[in-house]
Amino acid sequence: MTHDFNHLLLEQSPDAIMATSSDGELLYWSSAAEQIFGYTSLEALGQSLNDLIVPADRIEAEDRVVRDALHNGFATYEALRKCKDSTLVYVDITSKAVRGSDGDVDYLLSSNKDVTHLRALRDAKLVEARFRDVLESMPDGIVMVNATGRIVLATSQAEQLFGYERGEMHGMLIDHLLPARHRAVHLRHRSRYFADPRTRAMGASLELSGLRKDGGEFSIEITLSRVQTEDGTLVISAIRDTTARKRGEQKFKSLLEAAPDAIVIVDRSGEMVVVNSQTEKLFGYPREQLLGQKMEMLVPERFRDVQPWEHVNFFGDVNVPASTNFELCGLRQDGSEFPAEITTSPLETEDGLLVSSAIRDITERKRFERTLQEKNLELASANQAKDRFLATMSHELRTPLNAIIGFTATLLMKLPGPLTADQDRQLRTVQSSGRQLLALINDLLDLAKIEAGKLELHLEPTVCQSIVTDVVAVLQPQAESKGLQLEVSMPISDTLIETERRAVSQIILNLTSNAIKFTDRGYVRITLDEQALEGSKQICVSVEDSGIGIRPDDQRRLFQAFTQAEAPTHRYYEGSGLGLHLSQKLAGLLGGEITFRSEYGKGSTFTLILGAH
Amino acid sequence: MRARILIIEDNPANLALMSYLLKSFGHTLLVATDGKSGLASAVSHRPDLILCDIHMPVIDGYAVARQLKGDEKLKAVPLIAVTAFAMVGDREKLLRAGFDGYLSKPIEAETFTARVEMFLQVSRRAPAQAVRIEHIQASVSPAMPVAEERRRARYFQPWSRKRLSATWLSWW
Repeated sequence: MTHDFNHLLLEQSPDAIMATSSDGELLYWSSAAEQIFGYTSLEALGQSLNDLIVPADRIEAEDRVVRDALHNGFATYEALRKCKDSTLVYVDITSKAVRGSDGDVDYLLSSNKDVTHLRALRDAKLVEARFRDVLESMPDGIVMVNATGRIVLATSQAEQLFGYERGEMHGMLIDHLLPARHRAVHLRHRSRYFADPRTRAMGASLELSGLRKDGGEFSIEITLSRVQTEDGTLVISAIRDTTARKRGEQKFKSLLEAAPDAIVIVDRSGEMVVVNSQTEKLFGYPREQLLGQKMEMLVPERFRDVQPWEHVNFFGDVNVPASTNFELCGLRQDGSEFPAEITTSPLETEDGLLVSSAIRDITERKRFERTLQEKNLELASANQAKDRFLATMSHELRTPLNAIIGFTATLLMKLPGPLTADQDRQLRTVQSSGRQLLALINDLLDLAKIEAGKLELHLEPTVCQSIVTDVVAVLQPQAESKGLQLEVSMPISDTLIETERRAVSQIILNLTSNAIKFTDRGYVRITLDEQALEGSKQICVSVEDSGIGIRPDDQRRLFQAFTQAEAPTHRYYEGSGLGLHLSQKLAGLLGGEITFRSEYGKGSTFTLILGAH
Repeated sequence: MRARILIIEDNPANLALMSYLLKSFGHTLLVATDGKSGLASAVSHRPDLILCDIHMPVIDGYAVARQLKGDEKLKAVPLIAVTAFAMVGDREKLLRAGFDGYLSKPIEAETFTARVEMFLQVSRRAPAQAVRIEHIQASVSPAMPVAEERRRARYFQPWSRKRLSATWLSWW
């Protein structure tokens, strides 16, 4: 078995073997080279070594080394190389110049050993001794990487964060701490960062996820900074788990979205930093077109310097009002406007003071308000019409009726001549019907006046005894004609009350007249009483009768208008049916009330109670 | 006690009722349907008593009263307002305007003539200027109505209406 050991060595050597011309053109590219750098020999051959795998910022240094090699015949050095996939690797290089018979250099042979991992472990030892104690004290998880992206230091916080054992992360590619989908992008970022390293927050504005050893993901925020050592540039990543904060933000976001109003949050410069989807719907702009813009764009030009609005635009360090509510006009993307109610309130955040505005479309409310206003006007004019109607009615209804009643009376007085018995009887019916109609009209008009609040009361000191006496004088004949006793029981000394005589008279007259009307046998008794009640005086005027009484069923609706309890004999009792209703209303106006008790078949007692103060 | 009475009233039905009642009791009637012609009639006929409506076109009852009471020859003629007004303020307004008394509408046929005659009697006993409704009240027996507010009567049974007390006047 013969072997071409020359070939075997070249192809099976774990180190990358390559040959270049004196001006750097690749002439040989071993399979180990293919593996380490990622380029096939087809891709590599004929290319310039510098262009292919030497990082741009290292070309100058590389050229120097190569010149040395050419001069001395060989060189051994460690260098950074860029692979096809942009990753960087550390290689340990041994180069030798091969000269031709003419003594000129024909080829440059080199063997490249991948020492990336070794280097990382070496770096790790180095930085560990130097930085570990300081970095361990940091609250964030700290990971340091070298130029090849290998982890050279991970604090225990970082290990915990990503779920690794002590020291397990050393030498690992940092990219493995990110979900696979982010790695390509991250690699680009990382290369760029090494080219232009500045301290900056990474992922502060973008959603970044960390990948735990167990495959779980969590949201992180990374701050990058770099440190220069004799072994090259190292990058320090401070990694913070933002899961809790993100959850809080998520809650805040759902809260915003759940709000019925459009919510816009502006920063100090008046630019919108947060809007909810109601805002998009209300104003017709997609979110992207709103964020970063001045909130003024949501308000028609003519409102932009309106006073309350300024609070939103110009914070003025002194006083941001606790909460301001004002009405303004909203401007949609299509140029249409709508009435809006805006409530602004300051929002203390870790980013400083913001102002939050809740905006509500009040088109509907405005319409309601307008309708209501119109309705109110209509009502007012209807009310006026009613008043006019009442005034006219009181005149127009009464005048002809008065003539009817008056001339019926002249006929009954037999002024024009004698009457037959029939004529007399019929004329009396005309007269009593006319009077009843007049009473009804008067009651209705009085009631209308009370309802309209047009009844004016003239309060004056009044002696109650004189009112009762008047009523008795008036009704005595009526009681006598029915064979009833009209009894009066009153204190001897004057009972004084500040009230309206007319109204009180009307009520007592009404109650007494009713009592007489519904009593066929026995008595009607008026009792005036003065009672001390909790320091104040009360005056009661009771009208008691031995009449038909009121059935329990009827008692409930006694004070309603047009109610007359049915008599057992179905006999019709003359009356408007408004008397009690009106009396109760009058009593109410006087600050009193009418109460009653009644036993059906035995009689009733109605009592007017007035506060005397 | 026949008298010449001038009625100034724009409502034909009321005018007819008052005229008929007073004529039936033997009085001589002069009528006018507005304030202006009423004043003219008063000047040319010098009646014994004037009944005057308040709400009238052209010249209302108040203006009529002011002019009559400002006329030396006519101010002694008793001037009685016939009005639906019932409020206290209106009564005082009437007296201030120069009316010597008032009768309220609606006209109660049964007692109307008697009341008018009472004003005639009082005015014959005392100078017209001194006649005020309060005096009439005092001079009339309680059983005899003077000038009552009819609206109050609506709670009475019809037959009791005639017996209205003079004190009812003070209700208003």
